[in-house]
Amino acid sequence: MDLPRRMRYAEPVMTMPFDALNDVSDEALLVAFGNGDRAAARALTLRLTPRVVGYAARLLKDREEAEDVAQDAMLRLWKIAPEWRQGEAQVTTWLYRVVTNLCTDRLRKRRSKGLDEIAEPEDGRPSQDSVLMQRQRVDALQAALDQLPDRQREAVVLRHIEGLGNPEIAEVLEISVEAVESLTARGKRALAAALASQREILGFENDGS
Amino acid sequence: MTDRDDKRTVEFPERELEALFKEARRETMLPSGGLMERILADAESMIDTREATEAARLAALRAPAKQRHPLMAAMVAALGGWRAVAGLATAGVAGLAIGLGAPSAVTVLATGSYVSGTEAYDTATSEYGIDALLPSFYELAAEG
Repeated sequence: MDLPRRMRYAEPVMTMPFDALNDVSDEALLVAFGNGDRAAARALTLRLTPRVVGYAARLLKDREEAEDVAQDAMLRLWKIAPEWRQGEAQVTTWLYRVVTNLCTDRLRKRRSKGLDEIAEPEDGRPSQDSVLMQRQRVDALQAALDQLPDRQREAVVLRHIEGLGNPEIAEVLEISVEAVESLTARGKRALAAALASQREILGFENDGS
Repeated sequence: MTDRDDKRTVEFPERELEALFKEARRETMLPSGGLMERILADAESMIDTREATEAARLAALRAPAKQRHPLMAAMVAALGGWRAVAGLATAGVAGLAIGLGAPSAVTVLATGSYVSGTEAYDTATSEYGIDALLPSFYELAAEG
């Protein structure tokens, strides 16, 4: 019964022992970690790292940099754990905010060095051939996302890829819910415009009306 | 571009964008095992540092209490520990009680005046019976 859940977290690091902390909230685990609980540290690492690194990779387009940001963000989480004020913010919201800021800093530095073009779409980890069309579509989406202004990209990624609700995105980006709505709407419109010319290449023409 | 094309541009994405987002979600990068290990190592070293700091703090709190009377501690140690010192103190108090409480009995015993010279010593008739050798609890009780 708990097998699917097991698989979900066990996938990235199969060697790590799994424990019975599935049902404990992030916050409770964080407080336990603050009190020196090593099992809580392991559970938090397994639970939060995939989200953190996935989001960072989406913003940065660079695997190595995304891993650096993820480690940095998690380190900050470990540091504030003893002073974590319960009930104020969700751990994930806090993490998304930290990752957003770290990525923004990196992107800004990259631009000031004129190195924005370095990051080609993620290196082909699995065999590309088998999923060529899907790969192409995702790359096209990523390329279109990269054209967006930072704030729009963050809002669209958080809303449509990370699956956060508008109020939580507002907390992450420290703006109002209305501003989030406006950012995602404008972002999606820009994405649509950017992708329009590639519809046929991306195989959408045949999908139906 | 014609008006019609523009319209299509705006119309097409909603559903197709959704499809793209869904595919992108499936493609989200997974962390490497190395990253997980590094992050966990950070967490563990954080715990280690905190535990070491706490231990040092506790040690610092305990240390002054131990070193408060080094001279006293040295004396106690020289005399053989707290039990020996307690024995000594008891003996001291007992000596004081005897000295204050039973002067006549003790001085008589100490000076040996109950065996004066060559006099025949007759315990039966002597003023100093065998019970004079024992501390007079009666007098102790009366005076002290």
